[in-house]
Amino acid sequence: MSSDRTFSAAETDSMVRGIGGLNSPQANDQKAGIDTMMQVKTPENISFQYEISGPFYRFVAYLADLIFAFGGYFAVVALFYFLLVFSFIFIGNAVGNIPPFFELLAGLAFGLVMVGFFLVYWFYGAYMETRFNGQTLGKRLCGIRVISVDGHAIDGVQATLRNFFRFLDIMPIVPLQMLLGLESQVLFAIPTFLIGLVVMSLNRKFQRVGDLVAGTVVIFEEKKYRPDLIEFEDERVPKLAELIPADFVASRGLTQVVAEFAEQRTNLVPQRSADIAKHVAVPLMDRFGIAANTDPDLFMCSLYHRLFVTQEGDEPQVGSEKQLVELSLPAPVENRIEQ
Amino acid sequence: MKVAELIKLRSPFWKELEDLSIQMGGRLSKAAPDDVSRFATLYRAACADLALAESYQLPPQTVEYLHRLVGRAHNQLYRSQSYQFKSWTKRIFSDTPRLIFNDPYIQIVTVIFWGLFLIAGYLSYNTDVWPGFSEAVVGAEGLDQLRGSYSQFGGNRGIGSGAFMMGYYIQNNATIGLQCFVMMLMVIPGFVVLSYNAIYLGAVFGFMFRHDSGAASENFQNFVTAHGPFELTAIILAAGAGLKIGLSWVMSGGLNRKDSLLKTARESLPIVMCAVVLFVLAAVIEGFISPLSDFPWWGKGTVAVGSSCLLMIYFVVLGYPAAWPGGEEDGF
Repeated sequence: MSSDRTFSAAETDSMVRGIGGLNSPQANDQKAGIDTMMQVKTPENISFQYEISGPFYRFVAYLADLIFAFGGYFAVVALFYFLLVFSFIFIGNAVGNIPPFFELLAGLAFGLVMVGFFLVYWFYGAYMETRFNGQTLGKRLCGIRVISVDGHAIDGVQATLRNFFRFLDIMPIVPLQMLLGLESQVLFAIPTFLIGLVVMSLNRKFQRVGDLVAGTVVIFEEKKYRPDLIEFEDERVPKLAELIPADFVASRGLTQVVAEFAEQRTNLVPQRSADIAKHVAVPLMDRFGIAANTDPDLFMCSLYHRLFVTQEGDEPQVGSEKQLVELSLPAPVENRIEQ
Repeated sequence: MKVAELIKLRSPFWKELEDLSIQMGGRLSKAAPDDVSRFATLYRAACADLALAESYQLPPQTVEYLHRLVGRAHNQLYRSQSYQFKSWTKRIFSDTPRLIFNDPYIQIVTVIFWGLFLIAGYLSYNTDVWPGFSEAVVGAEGLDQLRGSYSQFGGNRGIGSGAFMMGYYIQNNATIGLQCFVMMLMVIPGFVVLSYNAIYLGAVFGFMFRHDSGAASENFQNFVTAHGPFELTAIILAAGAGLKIGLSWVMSGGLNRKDSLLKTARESLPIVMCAVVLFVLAAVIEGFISPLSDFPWWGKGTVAVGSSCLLMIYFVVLGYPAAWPGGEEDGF
C-alpha cells in the first residue's frame, strides 16, 4: 500500500464500521437495546437517555424499604407500648387500682397499631414516591428512581397503583413448611416474587406488573460521571500526536470511535486493546507515514489527544463562537416574573 | 474552538447546575426565587449544550455526563404534582359516583356475587335440595366452630375493646378487598376468589339462618345486620374495579393492550379507594355497634337502612348522569 494514498470520508467510515457498526444509522437503537437505555424527549425538544434498573438492584431497595418501613413502624409502636405500660404501672401504684380509662386507652392503642400496619403495608410506597418524586428511602439508598414511561415524574395515581399491584408481583406465596417439607402448624409465608421476575424479564424496560399497570419505569439516577477529557500521563502521546499531518480532518464517525476507544481501553488487557486498535490504527499510520511497528493503542491515544485537545474544531454550525457562548450562557435575568 | 477549551469553558456552568440541583434536592418549590430562576437558566443552557453536543464533537463521556445532568434537572423541574385538595371535592362527589353508576363491570360483579351468594344461601338453608351442602363448603368442623362462637354474645364490650376490633377489621377486611382487586388483574384466579367468597359467605348465612341453629342464629343475625350494607358493597366495588382492569387487557377495545391497561387502571383507582373508605366505615360500625347485645335489633336495622340510604344517595343521586350518553343533552 502506498503511503500517498488518501482516504475518502466514506472509506474511513467503512473502516470504522468494521469494528462494531458503531457508526451505522441504527447504532443508537441497537445501543439502546443492548445497554438497557431509555430515550426520553423533554419539552425543550432535547432527547436524553436513562439507564433502566434491573430486578436485583430493585430487590435490594425493596428489602431496605421493608426494614425502614416496618422496622421504623415497630420501633414507634414499641416506644408507645412501653410508655403506656410504664404509665399503667406508675398510676396503678399511685392510685391503688387501674382506672377504667386505661382499658379504653389500651384498646385504642392496639386498634391504632392495626390501622397503622394496614397503612404502612399498602400506602408507604405510594406516599413516599409521591412526596419524594419517585423515590422511597430504599430507592434513594440504591440510587434508583421511578419515573413515568414518557420521562415525566410520576403522580399520585401512578404511585398508588404500582404499589397496590406489588401484591401480584410477590406471588406465588409459598408456606415455609412446604418448602422444607415440615409438618408444622406455624405458618411462615414466603413470597417468591416469581410473577414479578418473569414479567420483568419479558419486557425491555424491566417493568413488573405494577409498573405495567401504572405506566412507570425504574431508572438509575446518578452515577459519578465526569465531563472532562481523558488525560494521558505517557509523554509519548503528545509527541506522536505531532506526527499526524496538520491537514488531517477526521470524519465524525472516526472521532466517535476514537473517543469510545479511549474511554474503554482501561477496561481491556493491553494485548486486547492493541488488537482492537489496529483495525483503525494500522491504515491510518500507514497513511501518515508513521513507523508500522508503533503500538496501535498508543497511536489511538495520540489521535484522541490530537482530535480533542490540540485540534481546532469545526466552526459549530449555529453561528460564530461568540454567539454560541452567549446562547448557552445563562441569560441575564431581567424579565423575571415579579414575585 | 478546541474541544478541550470548550469543555473548560462550559463545565463551570454544568458544575453549578449540578451543585444547585444537589442543594435543592426535591424541594424546588421551596427554594429562593433567584435560585429557581438561575436553575432554570442553567438547565436550558445545559439542554442547549446537549443538543449541540454532536456539532461540538464532544466525546461520549462528556455527552453521557450531560445526559445525567439534564435528566436529573429535568426530574426536579417537572416534578410530581402533589395532591390538590381543591379538585378533590369534584373528584369525590361528582366524578367517582358517576364512574361507578355507569360501570358495567361493577354491575357484572354485583350479579355474580349476589347470585352465587343467594343460591348458596338457599342451598344451605333448605337442607332438602342438596343435603350436606353447607358441610361440603364450610366443613363440619367449621360449622361447629361457627355455631359455638355465636352461641353466646360477647356481652357489652367497652369502647376500648371496640376500638381494638375496629382496627382489626380495617386491617383484615380492607386488605382482603385490596388483594381481591389486585388478583382480578388475572381474570380467572380473580373470578375463582370472588366466587369462592360469595359461595362461602352464602353457605354461612344460610346455615346460620336455619332454625336448628338455635340461639346462635339469633345472635348471628343481630351481629351482621348493622355493618352488612357497607361491607358487601365494598367487596363488590373492589372486585368490580379489579375486573375492569383485568378485562381491559383481555378485551382492549381497539387500543394497544398496554395502553388500554394504563387508561383503565387510572379510572379504576377511585373505585377501589371508594371501596377502602366503605371498608373503614363498615369496620367502625362492626367494631362499635354490631357487638352491642343490649342494642335493640331494630336499632341495628335502622343503622343498616341508614347506611343503605347513604349508599343510594352517593351512587344514584350523585352518580346519575347529567345526560345519558347519546341521549338528549338538556331535556327540559
